Amino acid sequence: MSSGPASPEVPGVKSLKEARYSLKELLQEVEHERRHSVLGLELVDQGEIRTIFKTRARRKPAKAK
Amino acid sequence: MSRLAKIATLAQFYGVMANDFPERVLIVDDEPHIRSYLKLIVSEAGATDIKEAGDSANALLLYQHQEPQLVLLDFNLPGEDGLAILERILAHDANACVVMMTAVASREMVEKCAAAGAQNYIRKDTPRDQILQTLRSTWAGDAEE
Repeated sequence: MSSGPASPEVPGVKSLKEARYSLKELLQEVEHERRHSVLGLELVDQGEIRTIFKTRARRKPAKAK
Repeated sequence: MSRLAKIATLAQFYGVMANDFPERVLIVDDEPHIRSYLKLIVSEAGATDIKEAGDSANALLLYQHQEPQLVLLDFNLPGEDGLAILERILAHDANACVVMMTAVASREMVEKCAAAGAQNYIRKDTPRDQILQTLRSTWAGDAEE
């Protein structure tokens, strides 16, 4: 059974044989997506942010510098 | 000295009329238009020495040089994120007053910043007068806003 005509080779131009990806870079991309994507995260409005900070004992800012 | 002048002197002495807003403010954001917007807000509030940084390296350099009383720090920055910069600023000066800012705030993000030592957290879509009110109350050290 014939596999069909092969693509003509153009002299001086390398045909694409394979694509290689760096696992390290791919994992970094996944990590970046996980850290910066807002999908699946519980978003809070300014009122809820206020509540979060209110429940924590905030330091008094050091004004005299 | 007139009675009015005496009252004004006494009021200034007791800090009643003093503008209770930090003079030295550092704004860290990679978007120039956001920096300009925040600069306008803090300058109207009374800040006189306002510095701007667009990335983490400049932010830390300017912090050490200017010794700002208040830092407005964007969470999403190129390179190191705002949380890492917050930690580095606080390692340099444990009393630094840093207010985090972001376009979209997740609970996890806000809680991490609060735990790391941020004084407050403001969403960038907050109305201008509310941003100013939050900054003033943060500077005053109020738990209530």
